[in-house]
Amino acid sequence: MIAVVGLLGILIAGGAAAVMAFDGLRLARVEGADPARLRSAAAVMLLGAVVAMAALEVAILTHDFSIEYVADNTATTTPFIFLLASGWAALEGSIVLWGLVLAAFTYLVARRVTPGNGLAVGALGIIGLVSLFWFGMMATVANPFSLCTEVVGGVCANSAWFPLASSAAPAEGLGPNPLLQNHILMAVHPPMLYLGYVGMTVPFAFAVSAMIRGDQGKAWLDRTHRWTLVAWSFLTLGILLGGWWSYEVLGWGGYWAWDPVENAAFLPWLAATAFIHSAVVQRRRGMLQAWNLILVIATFSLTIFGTFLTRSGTIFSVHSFTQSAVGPALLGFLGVVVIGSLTVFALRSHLVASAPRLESLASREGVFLFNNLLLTLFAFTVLVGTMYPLLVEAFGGREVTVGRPFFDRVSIPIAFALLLAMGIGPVTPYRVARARVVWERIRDPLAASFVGGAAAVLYGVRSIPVVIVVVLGVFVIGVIARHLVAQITVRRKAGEKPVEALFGIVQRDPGYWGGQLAHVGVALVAVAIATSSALAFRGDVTLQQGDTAVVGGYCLSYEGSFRRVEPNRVVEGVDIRLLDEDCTRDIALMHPRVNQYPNSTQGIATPAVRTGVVEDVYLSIAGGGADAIVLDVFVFPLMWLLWLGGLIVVAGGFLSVAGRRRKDRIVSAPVRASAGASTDG
Amino acid sequence: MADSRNRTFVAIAISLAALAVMVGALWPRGETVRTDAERVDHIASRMRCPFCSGESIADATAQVARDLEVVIEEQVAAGMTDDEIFAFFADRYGESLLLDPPLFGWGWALWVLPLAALGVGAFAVVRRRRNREEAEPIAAADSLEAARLRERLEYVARDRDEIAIQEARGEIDRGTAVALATTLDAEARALSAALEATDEAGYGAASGLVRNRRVWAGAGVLLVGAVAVAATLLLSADGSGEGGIVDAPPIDLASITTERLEEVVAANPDVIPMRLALGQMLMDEGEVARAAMQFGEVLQREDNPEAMAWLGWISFLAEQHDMAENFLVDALAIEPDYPQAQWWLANVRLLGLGDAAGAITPLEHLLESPGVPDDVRVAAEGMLERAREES
Repeated sequence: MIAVVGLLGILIAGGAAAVMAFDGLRLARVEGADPARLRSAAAVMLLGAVVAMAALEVAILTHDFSIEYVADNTATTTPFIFLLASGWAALEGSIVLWGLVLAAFTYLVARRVTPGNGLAVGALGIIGLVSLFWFGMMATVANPFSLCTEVVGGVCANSAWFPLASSAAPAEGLGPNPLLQNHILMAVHPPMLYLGYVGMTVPFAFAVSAMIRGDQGKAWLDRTHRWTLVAWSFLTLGILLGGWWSYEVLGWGGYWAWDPVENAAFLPWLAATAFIHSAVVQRRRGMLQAWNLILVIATFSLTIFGTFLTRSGTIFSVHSFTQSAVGPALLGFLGVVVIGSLTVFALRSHLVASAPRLESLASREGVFLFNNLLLTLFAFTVLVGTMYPLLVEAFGGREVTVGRPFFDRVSIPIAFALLLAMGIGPVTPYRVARARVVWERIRDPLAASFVGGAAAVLYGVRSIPVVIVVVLGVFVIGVIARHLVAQITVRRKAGEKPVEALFGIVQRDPGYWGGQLAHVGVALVAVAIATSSALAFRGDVTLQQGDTAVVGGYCLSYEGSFRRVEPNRVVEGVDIRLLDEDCTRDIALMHPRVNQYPNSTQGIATPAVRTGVVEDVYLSIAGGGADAIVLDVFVFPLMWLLWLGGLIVVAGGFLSVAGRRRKDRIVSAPVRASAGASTDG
Repeated sequence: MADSRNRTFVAIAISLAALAVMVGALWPRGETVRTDAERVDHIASRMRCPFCSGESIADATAQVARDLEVVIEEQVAAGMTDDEIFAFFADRYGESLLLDPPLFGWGWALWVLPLAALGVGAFAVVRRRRNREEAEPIAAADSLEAARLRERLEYVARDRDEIAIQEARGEIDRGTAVALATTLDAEARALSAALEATDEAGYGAASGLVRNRRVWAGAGVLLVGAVAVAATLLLSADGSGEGGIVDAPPIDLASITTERLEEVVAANPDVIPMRLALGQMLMDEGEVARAAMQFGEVLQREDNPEAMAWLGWISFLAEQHDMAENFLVDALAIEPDYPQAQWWLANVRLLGLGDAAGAITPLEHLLESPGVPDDVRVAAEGMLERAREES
């Protein structure tokens, strides 16, 4: 019964999407078109999507194992929070959540469309087309409401697409993928990522609409820059949480493995980051029109490409837990998106050919171009590295792997160059920069950065890459701090209190200062990545109960073991007391453990992490039994800085959309006020 | 200036000292010998664990990875080189075990493609810059085209304003600013003409053309007239000695057009009152950027409080409140009894910087000075009341 309701919801949403696509594209070039029907269609689509998601959750929470998805991905013993998360943790459910997010975004866009706004009407048409694909897929190859028709050995062996009356249901479900039900972050990571992925549909739709209409202005950027920033912030948060989950759950002591599917999330992030920066140039100076269109097309295409990599099972990885007809469908859609939007672009390219030229490469615009060159090069390199094994296997017939060594080697120099540009760019004037002006703004931070590097060396750091990153990181943060302090000083002379002045400055240009906050976060992340990888200690130790051993500058004492039977799993672990090197001062009691889930033969090693100001101690059970265990012992310096830096990046993204420039000023002369270069000096 | 040079010297000295510390500590001393454990780590991190999810042997937690690590340890201990060990594993488990793909045929593509992309990108940027002299094609007449032209015109106007501000702040030097401004003016003229042609499109393109010709003819006549007047004035100025033009009666500021005054000023660059008058006329016409340039010219010649005050007001209009305050405070330092500057300073502090307390002093000062017009007095009293409430 609930399956019928859910499928109806999907079909209604799909129908509304079709209406929206047809109407939107028809009315895009009609003067003064009335968007009332589009608004209703968007509301109906949202309603359908909500019904589908709710039906799926109800089915999961009531353990309706006659639905194949529920039987395959949940069990009666699954804790509530993971039951809830199961609604989007596997393939079909994740697409339902995708559709829901898309429908919600569409509703928000449609609500603000006014009559005669052809750009937004056309954009709704494009969003309608994209939605039609997703709801179409839910109704066909990825139907989450398929009914189980045959049970073999307690497992649903056959299913029917249409909710028939006669169905069979296994007595108990299989339960979620053990890796996914091992940590709470798994309930949060995918929705954040989807908010980011799906959000990129909006700027893409407005860009395509502008091209179809032959509208060459920056209206599409003005209408969507908040969408882009919000989507980018969620994408950043999603990637950050993914890394955190990997660190807390996978037990190999890392947060990023250049896994193809990690790359799949990183690629649209890089493209979107480039787009955010080059959009500033167009909104401010009217340049880079064609480039912005290319970037937004690339960003959206890469989100589809990422979904394809994740969901098609083309590449063997932690993330690809399914193989189905979804892969070819996504690949086809990717082809339509890339070829379709590039064709529209080519047909309209004569309109964007007359963009004004740069006055000088030594200017803010020039640094923005440099930044874009680096980010797109980065994206291209990661794309080549990710696709290379597939291509070689397809055309060369040899099996090869491209892994961490390659990605590390290419990304380090690019990251250095990006950090350098990040330091100089934000204080470089627009148009033509006089060397003396730029020098005065970076002089003191430059000295500070060298002092920072020297301090790291004196502290005992002997890794050259780490020292370089410290120098660059201090430089980036120093330039921003000097810039802020200079502005606060001027305001304090006018009698403002420091905090008041700070709020005033940020409030006047949240876009710029949000960006700078994000830059601070990136600099911290860079330092943390360098220290936690280059200065890490990796070792292992075998301990018997009562043993004490000194590893990696710490004393470990095996005090006992425990075994706990929980409803959905069996937890076996050991109590390790962490002491300082001399085995005198007690630091913490840690519980590395192995979680055994009924639907998996292999236990999931769950690490114990003790976060300190200087470094993290990370213990993971690598083998052994109750009497003697093998422990992986990792020490990661400044690990907390990575999470903090990441959160600061996200905060910067949200800050930049948090406020608007105040427009309520009284101007007592009839003069055109120029919106301004307030952040240049 | 001297202060700036000193600070540069100090900054460079500190940087060099710090650099010396870093280089001294990090300079490689002799050959570093890798320990066996380091070699095992290096090799294990460059091979994929065959039955894990894409993790390296060093990273993977599976038993297989541990076993393979033991094999690597044995081979390292037996004295095999890194390459021999890689070859051994590749032979046994296939080439796809190697995370760093060997550079056979296709392998080069992995490195060459990104490098090629870098080259193409850099070339595109440089070419983009070279082509900037190309003329702007302005074509097509429909509503979208008109919207595009209008948007571009807005950009040009904003660029003009910002150049004046940037020049005042010293970010752009004078020569560059003038060159940029000239280019922008030319573009603005072309855009306006194209926009006019688009607006007139309903009457046919020809009428737009005729109209354009009329505009140009009018401008030409005006220019000739202005040059003639300028020449006359120049001659008369020669005779009138120190006071310059201002003493010469023929000029009536109330009736002269801005264009003519501009010509006159251009011919007599050092006559300050004339420039100030021109600046005020331009302000009245809403030509903020051009007015700012005139006031800036004045400041290059002398510390004139009136020019400072006007630049302060212009900065306020451009939302450069900090700079506005600086200009106005400087103006009042030179001429404390200057009601207009007091009034503007109060505006900047109260409305721009949100500094109500700071607005009180200039307002009180203003109300004390004699000869303030009644309407200004009323406005100032109103603002003073508001400032006292807010502070």
